[in-house]
Amino acid sequence: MSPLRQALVTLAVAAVVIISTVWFARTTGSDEQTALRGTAGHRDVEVVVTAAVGDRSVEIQLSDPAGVTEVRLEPAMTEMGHAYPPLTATAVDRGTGRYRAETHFDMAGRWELTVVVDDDAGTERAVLPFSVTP
Amino acid sequence: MRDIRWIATLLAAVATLLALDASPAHADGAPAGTDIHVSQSLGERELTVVLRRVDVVPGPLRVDVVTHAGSPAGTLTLRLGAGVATVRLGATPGTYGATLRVDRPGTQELLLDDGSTVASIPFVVPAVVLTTAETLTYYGFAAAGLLLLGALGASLLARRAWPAHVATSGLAAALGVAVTAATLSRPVPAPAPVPRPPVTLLTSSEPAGDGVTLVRLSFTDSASGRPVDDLIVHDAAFVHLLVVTPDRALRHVHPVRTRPGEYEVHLATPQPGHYTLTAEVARSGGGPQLLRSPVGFEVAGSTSATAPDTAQARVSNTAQAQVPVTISGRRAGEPTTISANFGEADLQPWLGMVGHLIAVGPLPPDAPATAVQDAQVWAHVHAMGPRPDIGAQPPDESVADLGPEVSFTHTFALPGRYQLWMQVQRNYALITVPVVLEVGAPR
Repeated sequence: MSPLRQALVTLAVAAVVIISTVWFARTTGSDEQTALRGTAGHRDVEVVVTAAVGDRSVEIQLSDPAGVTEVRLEPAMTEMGHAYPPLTATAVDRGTGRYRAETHFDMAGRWELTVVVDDDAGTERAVLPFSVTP
Repeated sequence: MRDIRWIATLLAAVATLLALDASPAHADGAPAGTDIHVSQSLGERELTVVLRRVDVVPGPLRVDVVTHAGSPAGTLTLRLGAGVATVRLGATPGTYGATLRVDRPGTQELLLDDGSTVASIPFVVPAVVLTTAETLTYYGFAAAGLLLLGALGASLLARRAWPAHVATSGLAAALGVAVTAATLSRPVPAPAPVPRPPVTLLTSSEPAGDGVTLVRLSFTDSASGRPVDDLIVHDAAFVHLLVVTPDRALRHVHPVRTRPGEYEVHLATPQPGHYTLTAEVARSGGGPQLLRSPVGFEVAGSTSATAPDTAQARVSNTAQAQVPVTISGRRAGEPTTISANFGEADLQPWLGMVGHLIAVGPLPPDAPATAVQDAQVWAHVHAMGPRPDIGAQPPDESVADLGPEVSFTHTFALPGRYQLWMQVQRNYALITVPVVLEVGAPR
């Protein structure tokens, strides 16, 4: 191999390694959806949401769907102490404990999503704090 | 051939260095959390629940339950997610524990069930967050290690020179990426605390058996009116509830969380009359707040019109000797120092401090029991012990080496008569020393 080809091979390999390492490091671990977990009374609540400013669909999963009469979502911005009107979540599949609500995050910062579960025994809440990015 | 051997030896040396470098990599990260000490007045027991720091997720969570004098034997059920553990509490004060399993990072809820009340302790298991630079460092070194093996193999086995050449070029590039990223890497900054609106305290009470009152506290956000569920542990409790009884004794209890923003405590209320309630809480990022209930609660029965003055210092626990108290200052607007000598240097830290002093006043002579509720000054002063080094764990209650001198300094804004209570812990028993202090007019 001529010295020029050796140098070219060295540069090409270095470029490939640097680009692939940076690309791999950037793509690993980036997760757009945020999963929030809490409990409302005896039920486990899991909420999956894209925590960024804009119109967002909030997926709610309850561990025990039996007896649930209504599920509501109360968004609030904690640092401002600013509460938004409650939203009624609609059941995705009856009896599976899956619900969905549409909301809008109008600014970045610390937020709380409160999942309110009504059942025959009363009302229970799970308060789930998270950060909304710009 | 000699050249190839030489290159192989050099690469082996580099491989050894890389292998040595690999082990301290995780030591760069901060320890994953610290122990959490939470005082819980659960039923008739005063417990300190210690959640030991979680090092690995998923991994074990050790929960130690410290009982105090007067705490009956029994069992306590701990629940975390689907995991259940039982703690058998003995009749002697001390530490009893169990091990649960944490399966994910993030907010968790530890449930304590004594058979009649379920207390919930929310806590956070920190997630390991890597910056891009840190991720690049790890992947860079990993790629360098793989390429190093490739270069070794190529230099020993390949007939041509170019495979070893390619692998060593890649190795150099990967090392360059890793070292550059490591040099540029900064730890993830902690999220800046964000201010929160003040808290509104609502209280209600109902009789719960002979001489016991169930007191419910409800904390709401003063701006939105929503339940406040971001109370953090400060001075080893979510809520410090200070109760002044009709005979002007102080009770310092730690209500347990039952649902978001709702706390409750069973209080022994043997005397009829008016009980004054004051709560200390801290919101996440909001700093501690003093919440004085404007109503308190009443226990029915015939009462005397005025509260008896505790004219001189006495110790509520009769097993203890008299505690000499010295006071210097005693003038409004100037620092007053109140010192007590507890005899032996065997005091235990209580709520992370050597001692606590609660001062209420000025109280008019022959004041009714409700005067404490209307008093202008309500102070909570700490006597601090030696602080642990930064990053070190503070000693828990099993270390009994504090005292014997415990002193508090406070500037009383107004002249008049103040009711003071000093609180320290010895032999897992809380000692409350009431003192009446006359503060003179300012110079």
